[in-house]
Amino acid sequence: MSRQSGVISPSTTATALAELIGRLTIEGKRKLAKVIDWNEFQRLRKSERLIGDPKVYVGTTRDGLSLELPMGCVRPFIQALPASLSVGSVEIFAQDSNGSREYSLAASKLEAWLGSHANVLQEGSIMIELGPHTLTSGGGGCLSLALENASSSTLREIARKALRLCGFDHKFKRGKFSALVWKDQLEVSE
Amino acid sequence: MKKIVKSTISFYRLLIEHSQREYEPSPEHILKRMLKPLCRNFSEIMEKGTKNNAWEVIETFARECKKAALE
Repeated sequence: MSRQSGVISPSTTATALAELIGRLTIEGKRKLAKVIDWNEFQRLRKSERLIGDPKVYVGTTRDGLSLELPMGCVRPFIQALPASLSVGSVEIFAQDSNGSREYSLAASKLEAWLGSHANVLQEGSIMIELGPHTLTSGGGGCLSLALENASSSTLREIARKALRLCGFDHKFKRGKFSALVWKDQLEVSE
Repeated sequence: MKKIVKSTISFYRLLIEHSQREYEPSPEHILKRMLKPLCRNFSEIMEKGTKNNAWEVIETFARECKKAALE
């Protein structure tokens, strides 16, 4: 399993099995094919979860959205939030190794603020209050958006916008969903 | 609610949410994006916060555990 951040580690069972089979002789493979329990194998494949960090993740939570976005998509995503949520001002609580600071600014100034605090978005942590809604990030594109009484259509629109900013698209239809991108392949569950 | 308290609760919720995803995030991701911010917040609460701030954090953590059926 690779330990590099952002690299997909394939499912452990399948990888281990593939490695073992690869080492067998043709005769060994024949014998294995006769004794393997294919039903059990299928059950194992269904129960295992992928390990690692996807390129993109957008999923609903109890009160909003959780997202993993490539760094290039983070600023445009945050910049678009005040308009999506119809708020005119934001309050920011930013932390890095130098401590925490608070800012209060008009939504129109958010773009400039994000531009001059790229290091906080990358390696620090940040909480942005957009009216009653709250965006939290631990850096590196890991974001959580808690929405207060927002409609499910607003939630779906924000989720779609996040995907589109990252070069993917899906029109969500339900209240609960998740979208994952592994190796440039978008997988959606609704 | 004080911002440091709200931020701490948000990262705790984010940690719980990551544990319930359909894939397993890498240990590095959990460490850098949730545990480090949480640790920074704990230090700041210890340094500059009040006992009420600390109590509010613990109280809300307990509520979040119940909501996520982790008890």
